[in-house]
Amino acid sequence: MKKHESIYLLFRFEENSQSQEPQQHNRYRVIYFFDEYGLISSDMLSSFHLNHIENNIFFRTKEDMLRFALSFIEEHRYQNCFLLSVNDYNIGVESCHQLSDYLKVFSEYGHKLENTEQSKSSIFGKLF
Amino acid sequence: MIYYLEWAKEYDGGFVEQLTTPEIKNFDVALPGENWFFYWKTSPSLWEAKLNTYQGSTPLLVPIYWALHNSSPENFDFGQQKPETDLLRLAQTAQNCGKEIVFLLPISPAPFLTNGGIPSYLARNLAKNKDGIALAVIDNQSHINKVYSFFEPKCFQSYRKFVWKLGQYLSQGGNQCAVYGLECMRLEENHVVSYFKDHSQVFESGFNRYIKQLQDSEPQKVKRLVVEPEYENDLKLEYYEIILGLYLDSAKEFLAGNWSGVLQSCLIGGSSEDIFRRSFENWGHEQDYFEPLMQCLANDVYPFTPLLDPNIRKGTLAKAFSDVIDTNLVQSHLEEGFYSDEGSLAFSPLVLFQLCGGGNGFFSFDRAMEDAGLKYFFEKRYPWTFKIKNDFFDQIDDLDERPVYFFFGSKLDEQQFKSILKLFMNGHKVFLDKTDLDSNLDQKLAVFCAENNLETQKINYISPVTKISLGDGLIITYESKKLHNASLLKRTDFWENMIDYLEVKHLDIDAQEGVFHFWKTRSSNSYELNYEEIRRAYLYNPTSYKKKVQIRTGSNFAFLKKIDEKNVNSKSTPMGVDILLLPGGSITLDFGFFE
Repeated sequence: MKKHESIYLLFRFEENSQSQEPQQHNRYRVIYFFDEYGLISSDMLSSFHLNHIENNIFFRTKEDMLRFALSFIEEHRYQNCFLLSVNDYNIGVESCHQLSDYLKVFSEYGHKLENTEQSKSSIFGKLF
Repeated sequence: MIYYLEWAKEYDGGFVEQLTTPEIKNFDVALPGENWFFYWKTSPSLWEAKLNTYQGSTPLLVPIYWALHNSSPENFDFGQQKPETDLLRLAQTAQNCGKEIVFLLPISPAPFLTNGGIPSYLARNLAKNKDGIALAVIDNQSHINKVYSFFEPKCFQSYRKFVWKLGQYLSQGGNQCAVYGLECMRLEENHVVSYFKDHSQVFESGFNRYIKQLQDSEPQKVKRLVVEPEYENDLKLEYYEIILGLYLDSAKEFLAGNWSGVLQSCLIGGSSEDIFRRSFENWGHEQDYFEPLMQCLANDVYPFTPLLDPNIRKGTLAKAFSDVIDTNLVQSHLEEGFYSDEGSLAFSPLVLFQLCGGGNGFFSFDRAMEDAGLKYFFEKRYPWTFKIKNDFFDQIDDLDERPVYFFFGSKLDEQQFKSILKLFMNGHKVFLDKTDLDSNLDQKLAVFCAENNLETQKINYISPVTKISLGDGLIITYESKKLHNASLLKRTDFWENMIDYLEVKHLDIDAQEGVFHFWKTRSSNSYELNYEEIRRAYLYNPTSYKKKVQIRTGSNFAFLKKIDEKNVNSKSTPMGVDILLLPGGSITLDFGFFE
């Protein structure tokens, strides 16, 4: 399987305390999930049990979202995942003027998850 | 010597313009056919030379760059300080060159300009999309252009002052140039959305003030909001339209002598997703921009490409841009009824189906088409031969006879319903989705049929279908809610049968995946009396593979000629035309239509 560099997840926290339905409670909604080749296809997500309404993916807690991101990068052999909230993204965008600055928004303002399995295999790959 | 403006960072994050050393950039004036002239990019001493390079016959579109003329709150510059701000000189130069220009005054953020065109002293609150993401685009020189909210009260006050000064300047100079309002749009999930639309905190604060005001002026609306939270969307739309109206009215008021209307222009490459797409070399591809271009045609907005990287604006995509954005398209957006008047012998986009009356709110044509299975059906059988009109038509007499009209019950009020009946009585063909149609209107339809003794047939085929006919006029009702529950195959079959019944005359193009095509049409001229109409097919292969295409002429069409062949092998057969499009290939073909 091809090894990829990074994957990016932009999410938004949504408050909805009035709703009676479990899926409508406070939640983390994935706005964009992509890598350098484009948006992640639904095929790549099919093996994960995800809460979704139409094309929107939701997580009840941030931990659930991090767990998903970690298992995704392990299954699809990405080196790391940058998770960024919409608020942090907006702060980052406000301060950038060039495309080169923009690409750093996810790494500077986001939360980075490393694929430790991938790192290990890379070391072994280099040794043997 | 040619000087170009470039942007340099100011200490506070804003931008100032700087004249830099010469550098030849072919993309300074947007693509041929688009006819845009960015006066601030060329030294005024070279305006004449630059204008003379333009050989088109339609007016040059000249956006007015607010920030350039109004760098600080009380400083207005129309040639007094910087020569490149002298719009009257530009108009005079154009006149001396025999070129017509029209000025475009943005009435929304204009993201092809730094800070969306607003002065840096007003660039304080970023506009946001429906997901709360700050609006920003990447321009063709890899600058990030951020979009700031027009809902900021200071922004409106300054805009009004600027337009007042501009109006004074133009009238004192005796300038007769037409000024259009420019509303910049983008595509979001196949919807055309104005950059004016905003979901930022500034918008929310303004909306809250509006609600407080409503408590005094229209308390019934606030009461309804309490029991019906979804009503907030309608009120937000109402507030949005009021504020947009304020900007528009200011422009009309102070530019009354020059005011000519509004041009809605969609920035290709300006959607929220595009900023990610264009950040990675492996993501952005030439073929990604064909569909947005076609969406612009379908949504009747003028496509505009200054954001696109010049490296991507080449090959088949450049060909498609110049084919779509031709002089007739420009003229049709500046002059209402152009195609039906003097332009009747000019090629116009072929419209076989017209979806009407979505309004400016939250109705999604895309969703409605998808639910009914129409989207897949159109893509498969009649790609890009449909048009979406948010507005409900004003004059039935002006409507084109060819298209089959689609209306959606959930969006209809009584007046619009009556107009549909008139449309039918005038011999037009109409599909009416009865899902969420007001029960009173449904009853009125039944009464209308009974009173006029109309021929009515009812069948149940996936959805209940009623056919009402009178002479050429036809209304077919269906329920998209019922269709939605059926498989895509069944829904497609439903529309195959419905449209076949209407005997829509068109050629079938059987093309391999990756080939893009669209159609134009015009009336036949005195040398083409065997035909009623000429249809022109434009085909493009932006992929790096060979692609086969077959066009079957059937019994109502004759192949006439091929033009503009590039990287293509084609041969005419008794059945039609067989084409092999090589990588990067394109071809244009004319067919005559006869009954």
